[in-house]
Amino acid sequence: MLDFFTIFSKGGIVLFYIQGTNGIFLPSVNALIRSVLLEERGGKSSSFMHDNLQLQYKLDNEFDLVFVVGYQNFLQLNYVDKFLSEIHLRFRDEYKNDLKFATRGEYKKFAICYEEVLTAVEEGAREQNARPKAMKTFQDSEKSKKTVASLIEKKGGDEKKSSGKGGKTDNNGKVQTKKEQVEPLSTPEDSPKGTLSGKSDDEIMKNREKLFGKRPGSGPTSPKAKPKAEKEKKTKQKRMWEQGGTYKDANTLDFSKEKKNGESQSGGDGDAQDSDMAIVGSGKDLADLDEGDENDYESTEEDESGSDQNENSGTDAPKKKLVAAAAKKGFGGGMFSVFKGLVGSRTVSKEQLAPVIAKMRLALIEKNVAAEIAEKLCQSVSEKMEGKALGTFEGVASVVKTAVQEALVKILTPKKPVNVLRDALAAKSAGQPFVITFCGVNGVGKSTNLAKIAFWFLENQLRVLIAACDTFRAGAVEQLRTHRTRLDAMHPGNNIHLYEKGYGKDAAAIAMEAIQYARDNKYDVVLVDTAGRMQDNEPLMRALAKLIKVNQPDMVLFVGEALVGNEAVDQVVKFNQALADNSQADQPRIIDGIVLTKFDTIDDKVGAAVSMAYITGQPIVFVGTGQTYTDLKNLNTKAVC
Amino acid sequence: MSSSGGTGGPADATAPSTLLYSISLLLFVGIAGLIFYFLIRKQSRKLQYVLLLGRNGAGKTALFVKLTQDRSVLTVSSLVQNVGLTKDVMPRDSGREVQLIDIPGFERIRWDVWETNKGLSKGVIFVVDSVTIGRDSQECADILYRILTDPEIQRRHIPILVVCNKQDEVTAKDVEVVSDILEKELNSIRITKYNPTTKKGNKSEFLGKVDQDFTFLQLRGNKVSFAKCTARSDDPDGHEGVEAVVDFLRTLA
Ligand SMILES: Nc1nc2c(ncn2[C@@H]2O[C@H](COP(=O)(O)OP(=O)(O)OP(=O)(O)O)[C@@H](O)[C@H]2O)c(=O)[nH]1
Ligand SMILES: Nc1nc2c(ncn2[C@@H]2O[C@H](COP(=O)(O)OP(=O)(O)OP(=O)(O)O)[C@@H](O)[C@H]2O)c(=O)[nH]1
Ligand SMILES: [Mg+2]
Ligand SMILES: [Mg+2]
Repeated sequence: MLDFFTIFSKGGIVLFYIQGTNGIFLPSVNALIRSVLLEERGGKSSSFMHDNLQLQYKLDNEFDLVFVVGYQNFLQLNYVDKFLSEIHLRFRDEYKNDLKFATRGEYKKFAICYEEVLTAVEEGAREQNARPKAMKTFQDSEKSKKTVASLIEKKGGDEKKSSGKGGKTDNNGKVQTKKEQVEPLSTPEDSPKGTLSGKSDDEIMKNREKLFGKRPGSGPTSPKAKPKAEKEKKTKQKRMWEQGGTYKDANTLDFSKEKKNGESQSGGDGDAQDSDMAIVGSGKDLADLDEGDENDYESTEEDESGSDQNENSGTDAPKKKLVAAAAKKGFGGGMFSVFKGLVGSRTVSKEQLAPVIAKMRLALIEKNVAAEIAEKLCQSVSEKMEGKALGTFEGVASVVKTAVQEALVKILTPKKPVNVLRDALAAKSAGQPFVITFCGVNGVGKSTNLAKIAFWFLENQLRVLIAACDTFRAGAVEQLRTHRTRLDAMHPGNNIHLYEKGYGKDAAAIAMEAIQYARDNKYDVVLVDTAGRMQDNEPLMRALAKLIKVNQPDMVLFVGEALVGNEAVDQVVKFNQALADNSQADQPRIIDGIVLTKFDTIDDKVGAAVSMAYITGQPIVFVGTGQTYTDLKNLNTKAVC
Repeated sequence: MSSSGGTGGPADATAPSTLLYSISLLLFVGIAGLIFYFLIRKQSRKLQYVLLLGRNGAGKTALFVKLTQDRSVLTVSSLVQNVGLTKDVMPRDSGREVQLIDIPGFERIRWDVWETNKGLSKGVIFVVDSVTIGRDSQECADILYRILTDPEIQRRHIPILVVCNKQDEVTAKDVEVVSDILEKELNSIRITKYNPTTKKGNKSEFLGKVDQDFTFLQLRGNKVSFAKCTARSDDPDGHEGVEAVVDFLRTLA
């Protein structure tokens, strides 16, 4: 029944694997690692889909192991949770001593235990199944099966998404179609919503019974399942939304993956940019930026902006601890194990974790991280912490804090090195203009930061063409014209030009002409300014998608304010969604990077950065820290978190 | 009276003495523990590392297992680093083992581990996937650039070995080709850090000679050498495929 089962260390060494019929499992496991474990997207659900394979995993944080099961997703095995925890215990029992001394020995013998455990669990599941079957003889099987199916599938999805995310009904249709493809049990239904609301409480009760019947009575799953089902009864529709959420989430994941594979130019690491400005400019602003430059990767990593000063006091200690912890690991745990022997190892228990995690979540929300994302992050962290061995002098709280910090840094660090300048230079040597499109909601600072970026390119000896594609808001073109004039004065020599066609025209066409103009006149960079639009404005979003589809810019930057909280998620998700929906391509162009503006106006609320980076999986390419041309920086992850 | 005083006296005397005794014992244990701790720390500080670094999927973990356990295993992407001694591949040089750290290839984890451990490194092995280097040259070069310009690495003249892995594959690029590709990419990265014609940028981040195209030979401080390698061999015994790496490690041990 199971396609494969594997145990590997977090270091990436496969200790044990059982493989069924279907060939190699490594790609699936790598996909799981890349898009769930690495992205802090783990959580209660602990499952993931890859190529028709449903993967479910369990972490052992004490010995740094991962247990993964994969099976065909139409099978809907309900004993997997139980199997995972059983086999986890069994493996620990069998190899406790080996693992303690980290001898990565041979674990082939474990195959026998594996068979035993699997048979036992399957047996148990079958028995459980047999009982309730007698009770549901007369029920309309088609419909009920479907519900159970969705209930069980949901277990694989992300339950947390439920927290009041309305307005996602548009996804239901898609969820439906997707399910139809993969799930032979379900029958096509014209309206998923109709199905749901048409369901009587009676049926749902029955389904619940069935659900419980199928689940093993003991084991860790059942207590979780109960409250869930209770909730289901009260609000039926939420269930569908949860799935909508799941799907959407998966979608986002997919996109980022595509981007990662398909897009080779995601931007620049840009160490240089600050320093370039620093040297060129003349004034105190630039001294500021110089500092900003140094702190980028080097030792003085504390001062991106004044904003984090008050934060430092709070974060210094954990930061040090992080280093200490890492160092400890690095030293091969020599002294560590000595003390462990004396004191006996303590591990983090679920009960200890819960209050600390709750506190962390509040702290994150206080920092302006969107509630939904704070929740997910905390789940992922608690999953990673449970069962972890504590150092002799460590408390749960400090360890969790460190883990959250690490998670934040991980989210804000780009997946690939970002170097916009290099990409622009590469385009230049290929004789093509490098096109960047800016998009975002109204008044976030698109035009202003576009001008700053133009200045930065000018400083780097690139010729810039600004395309005035905001043909909507009164004064937008004039605003850009003013910027051009000023920039031209600062960098004389006809290196910057504004391509404008007035108001009311089709933005996509103007952009296209501008790019052609740049090609003809040897401009190296084209910066496309677009009109601000609210994420819910369907026609305007479609227009933006068209602009991007037609012109295929090298980079699509989403401009967002650092001030936003929960709203950030909605904005980014909807922009991405609109770009994806309105594109016929297999790999639609979506947001490649984020410009975070008005960073100077917030104190320690870096939440927007975290929220946006988490949702898109894309790097924060630039940070706007003021209203002059030099107020453009790289995000210093260390200083921010 | 006296009998009662007599019984009271010793009782009073023993209580503080046991207390004192236990306190001094505790203190002694504490101090001994601390000394022990620092001894071990010092010892482990002396143990210096060789860092395995490179792009995701380059074969670092495969090479790590080969060097530390002399066997081939299946690997998946690493989430945390692996630490181990090169016991088995250098049996003749007993006592001259090297501590290896396999740094995960994910950009998001890599630099954290790197920053923590680079201070104690005595060598860096940069692993390249010779099959995909054509496609991934930018990213590889980015990583290598950051290593080469690291002040710590430059100051301490840390030698760097570029390992062209997966030489068993038919489509694997040769060492010279890999070297060429990397030089070209490094050349185009360095002008984004500092532009010699305009004298803009941070000169300390500029690699090599200003007036020539970049080559690895221009690096005075850090010796960059290249080696062929096959980390994953189906042959269970014998460590052919990684000899060049073992040689490099031997020079460091
Ligand atoms: N403090 C601060 N203000 C900024 C920053 N970026 C932009 N602003 C200000 O935000 C306001 C709006 O900026 P615009 O660039 O016109 O915004 P926009 O997104 O182009 O607006 P629309 O085109 O109308 O959608 C201006 O007053 C800018 O000066 C920043 O980084 N810091
Ligand atoms: N053909 C061939 N394949 C290899 C060789 N070395 C490694 N591989 C394969 O390359 C893949 C990645 O190897 P890993 O050692 O996991 O790569 P890594 O550098 O540790 O990757 P991350 O941990 O993700 O950074 C695995 O499937 C290995 O089997 C080799 O010498 N030849
Ligand atoms: Mg504007
Ligand atoms: Mg690895």
